[in-house]
Amino acid sequence: MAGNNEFQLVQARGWTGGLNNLMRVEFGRWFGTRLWLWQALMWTLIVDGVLAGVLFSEPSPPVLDALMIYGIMGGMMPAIAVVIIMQDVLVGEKESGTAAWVLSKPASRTAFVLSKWAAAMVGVLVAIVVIPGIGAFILINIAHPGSLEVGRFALGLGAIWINAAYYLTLTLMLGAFFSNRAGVIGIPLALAFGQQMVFGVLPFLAYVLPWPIVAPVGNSTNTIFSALVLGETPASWLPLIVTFVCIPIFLGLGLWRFEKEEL
Amino acid sequence: MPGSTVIHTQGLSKSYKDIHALKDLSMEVQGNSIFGFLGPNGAGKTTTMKLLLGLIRPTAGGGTVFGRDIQRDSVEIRSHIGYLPQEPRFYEFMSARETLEFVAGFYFKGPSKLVKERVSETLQLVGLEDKADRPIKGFSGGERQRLGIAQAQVNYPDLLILDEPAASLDPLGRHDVLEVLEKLRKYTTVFYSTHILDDVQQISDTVAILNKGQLAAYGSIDTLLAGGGGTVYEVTLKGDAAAAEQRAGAQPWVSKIQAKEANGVTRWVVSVADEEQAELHLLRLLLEDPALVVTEFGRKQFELEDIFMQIVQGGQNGR
Repeated sequence: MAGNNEFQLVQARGWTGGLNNLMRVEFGRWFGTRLWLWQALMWTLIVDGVLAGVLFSEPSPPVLDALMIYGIMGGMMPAIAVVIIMQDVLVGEKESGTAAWVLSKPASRTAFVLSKWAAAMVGVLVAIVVIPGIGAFILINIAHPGSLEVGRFALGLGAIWINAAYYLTLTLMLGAFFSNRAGVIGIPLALAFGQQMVFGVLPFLAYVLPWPIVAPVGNSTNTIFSALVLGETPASWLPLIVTFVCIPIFLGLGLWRFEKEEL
Repeated sequence: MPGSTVIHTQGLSKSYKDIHALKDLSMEVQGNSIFGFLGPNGAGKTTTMKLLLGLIRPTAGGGTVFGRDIQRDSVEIRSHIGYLPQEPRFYEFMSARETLEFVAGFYFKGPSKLVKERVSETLQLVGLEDKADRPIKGFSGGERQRLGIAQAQVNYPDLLILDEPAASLDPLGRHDVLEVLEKLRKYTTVFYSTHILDDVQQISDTVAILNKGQLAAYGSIDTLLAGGGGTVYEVTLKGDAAAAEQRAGAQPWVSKIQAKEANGVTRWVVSVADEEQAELHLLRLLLEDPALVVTEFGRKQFELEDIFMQIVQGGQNGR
C-alpha cells in the first residue's frame, strides 16, 4: 500500500482476518450505545415485575415456586428476546448490502459471524440474564431471607444463559441459511413454545430439548435451573448437556453455510 | 507496479441456474492504469467485481489479483484493495468519521494519531469534513457516494475497484471524482465501471465493454476509437443534393450514404470502403456540382459512445 509506511499494518490471515476490528464494532454496537441499557431495563421490568407481583401477594409462594416462576419468566423471555434481536443480524446485513461491504475489506466470513455471535452472547448475558437475575435474587431474598446462595444462583443463571445461547445461536444459524426473516424468526419461536406440546407424544424429546432447563415438564415443579439454585439433583441433566452441545453445532453449521453465501 | 499485471482473469464465468451472468471473461489490467469497465445494466460488470473480491464464486474459470488466486487468497487480496459498491450501504448508527475509522481498522493497528489524521484527510478529500460527525442516517445519496469513495480510499489501496463511482453525484461532484481518480493514477490502479461514457473517454487508459455477460470489446481507448466502424465522412450541403447523392453513391469506394434533410440543408454520413480514394475524390466530386454549396466537410471523429452503441445495439460479442 502506497504511503502507509508509517502505520502499523494489520496482517490479515485466514479466518482471524478482521476479527479484532469486527469484535470492536459489534461489542460497540451493544455497549457503546444504549442497546444493553434498554434491553436490561425492559427485561428487568418485565421479569422481575411479574416475580415481585407474585412474591409480594398473599399468600407468598414458597422458594421453589418462586424459582419456577422466575425460571419460566427469566428463561423463556430471554429466548424470545434473542430471537427478536438475532433475526435481523445476518438476514438484514445480507439484504441491505452491509455484509458485502464489510466483506470487501480484509475480513473473513468466519470473523464476521463470530464477532456478531460473541457480542450478542455477552450482551445477552449482561443485559438479559445477569441484570434481571440480580433483581430476582434480591426479590426472592427479601421475600425469603437467607434462602438463596449467591454461587448456586449464579450457576442457575448460567443454565439460563445456556438456554438463551441455544436460541441465539439457532437464530444466527438460520440467518445464514435463509434469506427471509420468516424462517429465521418462525422456527426458533415455534420450537420455544411448541416443544412442550410434543413431550406427551414423543417423551424422549424432553431429554434433548432445552425446555426442562427453565420450565417443569408434566406434573413436576422441578427444573434444572431450580435444582442448580437449590443444590438438588434434577430429573435429568441431559437437556442441559444436549442444549450446551447444540450451541457449537449450530454455530459450526452457520459458519459453514455463510462461507458459501453469495453476497 | 507500472506495467505489471494487477488483475488477470481466464475464462471467468458465473451462472445462476440457466442465467449466464458472466461468460468466459479473459482480460488483464495493468498497474497504475485507469481501466474503464462499460456495459448496459445486467452486462456482468458488478458480477465481475464481486468475483474479484471473493464475494461470489466463479462457476468456471478463475483469476488472480496481484498474482494471488481470487478464491483461495481472497482475504489477503482484499488487504490491498479499496472497493466502492454500486449502492454504498454503511452501518447507520455510525458517523462518517466512525465509518472511516472502522474501515481503517481493517488495515492499520496504529498509531492512533496517524489513523485519525488519515481519516480527517480522507474526509477532506471528498468534502465531507463538515458532516464528519453526523450520523450517516441523514446523508443524501451524493453524500453517501462521497463517503463510499472515502472509505474505498482510506487505506491508500494498490487497487481501487469502483462500481459506478459517479452515480448519484451532481456534475460538480462528478468532476471532483474524475479529478481524484486522475490524481490517484500515480499511486494506484483504478478499475471502475460506469455508464457515463464521456468520463471514460476523458480519463481511462484501457476500456472493456461487456454485453450480455460477454466481453464485446477490449483495448486502449485509442485502439477502440480507431476501429470504430471504418472511415466515415460527415458532409453538410445546401442546394439540390439528390443528383450528387446518386453520383457519389455510384462510386466504387463509397459503401453507404445516409442522407437527412432539414431546414434547407442536407446532411450526409458517408461510409467509405477505400480511405485513400475517398480522400482524393469525395470533396472534389461535390465541388464540381454548381447546384451545391458545401458548408461543412470532414472525417467523423468517433466517440466512445458510438462504439458502445454499435456494440450494444448490434449485439456484438467477442474482441
